[in-house]
Amino acid sequence: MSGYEGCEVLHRIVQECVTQNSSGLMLRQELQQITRQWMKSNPATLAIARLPRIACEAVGGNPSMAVPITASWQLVRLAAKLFDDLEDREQVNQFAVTLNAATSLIFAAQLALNELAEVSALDVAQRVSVSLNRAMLRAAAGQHADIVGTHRDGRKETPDDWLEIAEAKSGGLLAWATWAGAIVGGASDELTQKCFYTYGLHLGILLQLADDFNGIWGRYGDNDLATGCLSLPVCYARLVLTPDARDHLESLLDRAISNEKAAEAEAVSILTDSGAQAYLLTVARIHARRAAAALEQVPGGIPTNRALIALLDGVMPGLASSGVS
Amino acid sequence: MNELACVIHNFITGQEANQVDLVAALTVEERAVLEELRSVLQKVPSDVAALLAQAGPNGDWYDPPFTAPAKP
Repeated sequence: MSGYEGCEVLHRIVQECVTQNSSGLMLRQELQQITRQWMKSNPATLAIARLPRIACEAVGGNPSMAVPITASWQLVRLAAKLFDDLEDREQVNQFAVTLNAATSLIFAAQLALNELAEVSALDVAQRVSVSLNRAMLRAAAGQHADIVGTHRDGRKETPDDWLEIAEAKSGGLLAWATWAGAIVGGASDELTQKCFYTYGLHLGILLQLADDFNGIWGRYGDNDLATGCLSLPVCYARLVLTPDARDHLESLLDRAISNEKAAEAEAVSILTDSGAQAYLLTVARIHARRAAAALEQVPGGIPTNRALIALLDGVMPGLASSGVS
Repeated sequence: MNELACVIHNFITGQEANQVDLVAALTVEERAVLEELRSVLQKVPSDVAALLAQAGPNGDWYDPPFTAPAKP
């Protein structure tokens, strides 16, 4: 089976989810445009896009069994990305249209998952579907805490608060994708399922850590400080800096939101000097270790877990090249 | 991992003298990774940025699943 099969299913599902509605031409065109752009930047060959399939193969399953889950996973990721952009005010010009499209994709994800009943036992399909809904609700709860934390005056979120939000927002969804792939691949015992779930959970947190690193120190200078979103380096600095230094940082962050580049640059410098990079690196390493350890706990071992380990290493190649991994 | 944050801050800013209690509060796992960090910083003294700059083909970490790739 080609790695693009999930991509084809995704496009077909997106088409079908609106063609049943005679007035859905404009929505279909919008979704087609959004999914085309998404698939261009997130091709089905990307490991994270194929996570359910990789997990399915890791337990020796037939990868075709994971196609409905992989298609659903793509739609969930895209919907989550659109909601995240909206909530971070990155799509203000198309706010209402994007909101409607993102909502539609959630329903499309459910339709994609319904196809699982045709290739798997009904109870498996139901478990996977229920678990997805729970994971999405948990992600919504995490996103809610993120938004409230971002916009509240006198923000006091600590690194532990941030990690709790990251686990809900990202960890739960990746845990679902990995667990669901394994279960349709034939992982019937609870311990194996738990191992794959745990792997995905920590991978999800790891990716959020990478997101926050790139949001401040990334090559292209993403703008977490300019948008004022809840960021782990800032949570870290708020915890460790002296009250005076913290007040100064808060002042700089307020000015950064007002697009004062000099203030943003000074804030970045303070975060770097305070050890925020080292902290992210260390916490990321802990979650990478936990993810790898979960795979090692699979009863009898799993023969083809290299793709899952490679995915972890891909998040942290800096550590691998330093000889620490 | 709030305690770990305090330990790392003291470590990076050279204020390790009075943090015995803080280190004692860390988990075994946190202590092990902290030792790795010390080892890394001995290779690239005080330059975590240089270490992280090695990350990824473009100098970035992996693009996360819910964020669009950064634009040049």
